[in-house]
Amino acid sequence: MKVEIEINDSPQAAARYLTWAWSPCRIRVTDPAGITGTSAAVRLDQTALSGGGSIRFASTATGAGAATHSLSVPRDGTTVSFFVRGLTASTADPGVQITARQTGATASVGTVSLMVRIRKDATTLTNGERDRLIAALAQFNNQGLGRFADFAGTHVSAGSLEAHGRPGFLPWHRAFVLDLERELQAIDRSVAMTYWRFDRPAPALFTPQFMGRGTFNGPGTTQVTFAATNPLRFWRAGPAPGITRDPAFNVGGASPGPLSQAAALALGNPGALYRNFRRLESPLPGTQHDYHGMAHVSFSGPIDSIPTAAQDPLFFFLHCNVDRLWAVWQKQQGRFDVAVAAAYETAAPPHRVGHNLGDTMWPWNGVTTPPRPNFALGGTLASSPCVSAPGPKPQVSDCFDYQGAIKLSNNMGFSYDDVPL
Amino acid sequence: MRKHTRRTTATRPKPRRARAAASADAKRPELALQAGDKALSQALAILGDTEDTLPRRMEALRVLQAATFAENQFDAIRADYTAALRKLVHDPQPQLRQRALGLLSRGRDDYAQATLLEGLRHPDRAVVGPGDALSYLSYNAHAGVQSVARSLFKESKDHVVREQALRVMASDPASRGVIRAALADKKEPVSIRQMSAAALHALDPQALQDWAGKAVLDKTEPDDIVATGLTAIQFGDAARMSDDAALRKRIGEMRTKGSGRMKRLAKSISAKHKL
Amino acid sequence: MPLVDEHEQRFAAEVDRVVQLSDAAELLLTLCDERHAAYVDRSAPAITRMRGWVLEALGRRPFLADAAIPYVLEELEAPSHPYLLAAAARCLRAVRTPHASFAVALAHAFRVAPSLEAPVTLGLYGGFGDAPGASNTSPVREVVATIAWLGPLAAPLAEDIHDTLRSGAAAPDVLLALEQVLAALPPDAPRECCAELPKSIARFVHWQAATRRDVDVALDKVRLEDHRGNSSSFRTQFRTGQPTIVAFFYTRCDNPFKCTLTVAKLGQVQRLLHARGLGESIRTMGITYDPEFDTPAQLSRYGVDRGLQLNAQHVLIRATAGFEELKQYFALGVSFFESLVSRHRIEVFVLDGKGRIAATFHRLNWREEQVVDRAAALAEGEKAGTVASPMASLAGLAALAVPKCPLCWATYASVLGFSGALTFPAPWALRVLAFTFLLVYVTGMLWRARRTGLRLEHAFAVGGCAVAMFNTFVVPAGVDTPPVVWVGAALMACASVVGVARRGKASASGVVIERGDSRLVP
Repeated sequence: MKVEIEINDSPQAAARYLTWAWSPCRIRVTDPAGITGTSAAVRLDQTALSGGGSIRFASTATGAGAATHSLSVPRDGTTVSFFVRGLTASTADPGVQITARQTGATASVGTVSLMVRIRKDATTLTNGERDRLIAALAQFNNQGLGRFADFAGTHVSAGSLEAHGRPGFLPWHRAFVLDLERELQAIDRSVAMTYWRFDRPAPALFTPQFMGRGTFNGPGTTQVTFAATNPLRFWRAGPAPGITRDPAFNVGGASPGPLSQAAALALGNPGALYRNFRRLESPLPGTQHDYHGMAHVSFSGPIDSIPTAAQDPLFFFLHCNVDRLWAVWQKQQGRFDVAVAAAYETAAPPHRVGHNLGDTMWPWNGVTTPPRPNFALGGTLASSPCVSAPGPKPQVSDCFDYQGAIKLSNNMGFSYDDVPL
Repeated sequence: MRKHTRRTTATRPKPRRARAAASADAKRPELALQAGDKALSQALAILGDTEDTLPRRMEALRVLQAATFAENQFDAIRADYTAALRKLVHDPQPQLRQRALGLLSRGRDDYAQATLLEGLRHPDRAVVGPGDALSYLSYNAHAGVQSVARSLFKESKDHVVREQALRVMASDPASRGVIRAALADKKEPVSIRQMSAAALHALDPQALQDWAGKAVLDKTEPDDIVATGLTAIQFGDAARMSDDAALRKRIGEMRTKGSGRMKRLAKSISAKHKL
Repeated sequence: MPLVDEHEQRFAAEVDRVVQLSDAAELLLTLCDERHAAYVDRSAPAITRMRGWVLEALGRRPFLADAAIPYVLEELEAPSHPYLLAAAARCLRAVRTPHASFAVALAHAFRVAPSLEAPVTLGLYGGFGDAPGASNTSPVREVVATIAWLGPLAAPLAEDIHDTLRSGAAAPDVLLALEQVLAALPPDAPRECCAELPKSIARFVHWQAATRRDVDVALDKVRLEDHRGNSSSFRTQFRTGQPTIVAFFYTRCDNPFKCTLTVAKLGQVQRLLHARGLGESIRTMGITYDPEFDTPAQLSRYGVDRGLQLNAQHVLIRATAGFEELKQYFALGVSFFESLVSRHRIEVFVLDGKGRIAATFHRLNWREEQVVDRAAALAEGEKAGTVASPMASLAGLAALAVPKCPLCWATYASVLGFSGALTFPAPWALRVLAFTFLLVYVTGMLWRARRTGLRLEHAFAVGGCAVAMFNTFVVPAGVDTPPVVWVGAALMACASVVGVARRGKASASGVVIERGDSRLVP
């Protein structure tokens, strides 16, 4: 007997990646030899491979799941659905192997290998995870000739109102980071975006092997130094090659001193309202307290200004952390459902286009007529072989239920290491 | 870099020194800003007050620059902020001058660019050194500094100035020859040759790959240059690799001989090009 | 204060002198042209200062001329510099009577100005003021003042103004000015923003060529390389028999309202062409101003990122040789500083099937539909074979009207036909007529040859006829094959001459001997 197991309901190897969210899977008999009766009782087990990690099985996309799963698979090849999700993250691909055996037998009748691919704190990446991520980044940049230029060319003054100063700030940047992540995964499927937890010291991030090191309180002209074998040394995203980034804090052992995570999470209070929570974007009125803006300006270099910030790849790690914070807040306050008024900030009259729940977001919508910018680089949002959300032209509302907690099909295909389902 | 094999959700306790440093850095000067709309104007006043302390003025600058990320809410004082930054270009505090020039240059402010160019042409009027000036001017390919950069590259003995000159020349096709020559010149410092490699890619990717292949095969080249060549080869195309038997052989050797980083790089290239 | 160099100082002084003269307006207008010698080898920032000063000078003169208005509107439609934007906004207020079409450009400037907001000093060269940070105005203030000057014509901007007031995203004095603008708008003022530029201004930004200049032989020096790396000549790319829509751009352009927009619109042109079934009969082409830097790989990525379809019919091109000749042919409005473009205008052309410029759209934003309509009309005309000018057609008809023997008449008609000098209302009529005459001609020749024996003039005639047949029925309409055409005409002319000469000799001798015929011809 032989069975075929599909992860994320797809035969493609590119779809064999899990997050904490339940992923639909299916199994069917491809060779019924040895099956007596109309169906076979099959048991699914898991084995950790070199990449590590672990998963859970379930018949429906609810509950905690179990380490193994038993089901009955028809002899005639009809598929049977089940669900899996990641329990612990892999560090390489493949991480976990699912083995199907006929109940009571030891021989395998089918296997599939997968990876539990999770967005992690950049300081906790293994050398391999780090190297694969920066290799994918460098290749996507291709020394200035690659399509990373679309990302740098989108986060500029002309497009700024689409993404800043209004409620759509968080959903827009969620989509922006996801778009880049998927482009990197098209180069190396094992890669996930990582976050710079900037309210803590992150010495392992600012090394010549990773994101490079500038001069503490330097003039803002220092090219960060990279190891000779770090492909980011050929980074180019503006007119000139190299990355300029002089920190205003001691990257070896301190943080830039933004609002603490706890204080940032409390911004939504009272009532855990999005309209208050999103004030993490810039200094709170009348104060110096700031979460997101302070991270940007803790360096002197392109990352400190909107028109040039996305030229520095650290921008995406920074915003991955901002997005993580939103995810933590959503989880703590139950704010995944856009039907809940407090989950977003609707207004009458409506916000500027691009910031209302039903608005599609530029540049992915390709709209270039006023008041949208007159260009839209890079086309639609990159697709994923694992999930269909948020779609090629996402609306603001598509960026909330990122793990499919409300509706499975909303799953956007990423999870954070410290934000469970 | 610590290896990590388990998912971690708990906050790891920080070492005592890091905690102290973190809390020291987190104690930024208190500006006592007033609530409401006046806060940013107050920060502007602190920034412009040359009698105030540098930490307070730097903090005011950080608060203002962070506020620009709220975009339209900043529009009301944007002109005043630019005016304040232009004044800082001549401030007695070099850190403020540098920070202001960086921010203005990234916004392609004409006043900042004109001031920097004037300083390059007339060093007695310079507000920052030539290396810094070139770096700030490099944000704008149209700043009109290419010929100045070429002259400085030829004449300066300061390698930082020459590196920054190379960065500016990286957008100037007329400088292609100079960059190629610097890359090939073994008498040049490693950092200059490495920057030349980065500069050459946009102007002449083929020339960079030609050089990279030779550098890897040249046993008289220092490790850092060979590593740079190998890194450049990662961006090359497979057809080129398959045509060069000597290069393939050398990369194959490097997978097992040499330093750890070279081996890793050689393995990565081998995997990419299926050697 | 940063000093500007001697050239700029002299330029500023000259502008100050010229503005006092009675013909100042005309002289200042020449300074608006990107190709003016004053801008040669000047950097982009220098040209910005120089042009800003010219606009300020124009604005100080009473009543801005129509010819100058496009230069002002250009800065409002494609704002990229605070000083230029402020100067242009103020300069527009020198127009005698505001026009509704100005609201379009001002609406755009109003949306963009906040991101360019900076201290500007008008009245001092360069806009810097006499101390760092000094100013007497800003782009937003000037744009708002010009919106106020529009009066009721500013009604289409009401919604944008409401948005700004609601968000409070402007300085207090600007908010106050905007409130006053709104208060002054009549409640019934039309809010639609569709007014076209009046013809008196529009004629300076787009026009059709009254006559089309033939392609200069100098263009033979031009070598082109497309986004795929394929090389070709000017003739190969442009003399295809199909109209071509040509736009100029470069990938390092940092004004998002110029090249990025131009190329994105070229993509829209392609989509319109396909929607109208013209995608295979009209070509589109983007040519870079920056051939050294814009390699095929750069061109390809730039175009695809902006929604261009790229293939053999729709290309992005750089000139690997002969860019100067190309620049002269198109009279490009571009200046350079060292290897980099320092200033350029928006420019789009429609070329006919012979590579001749038939229509020009420049400086201001062009409408994709208008450009496509122009190219489609050209394509239609070329299909009909109505390529020749009216004078050539009259000359051809006159030649036909001269009484001749039917065979001679057929010869002339076919020569005039395939040389393009004669036009017919419908292509099929020409072909039927040509076929008939050629058939009569060949039949006559063969009958003659049968009587007299095959002679040299018969061989010439049959050869010329074969060439005429080839040109009329094999070569596609509109494709010029001059050597073939004239060889055929020459052969047929030789046939006539030899035949007449032979007869002349015979007449002189009084004898014409033909095979099987011994009659004496007196």
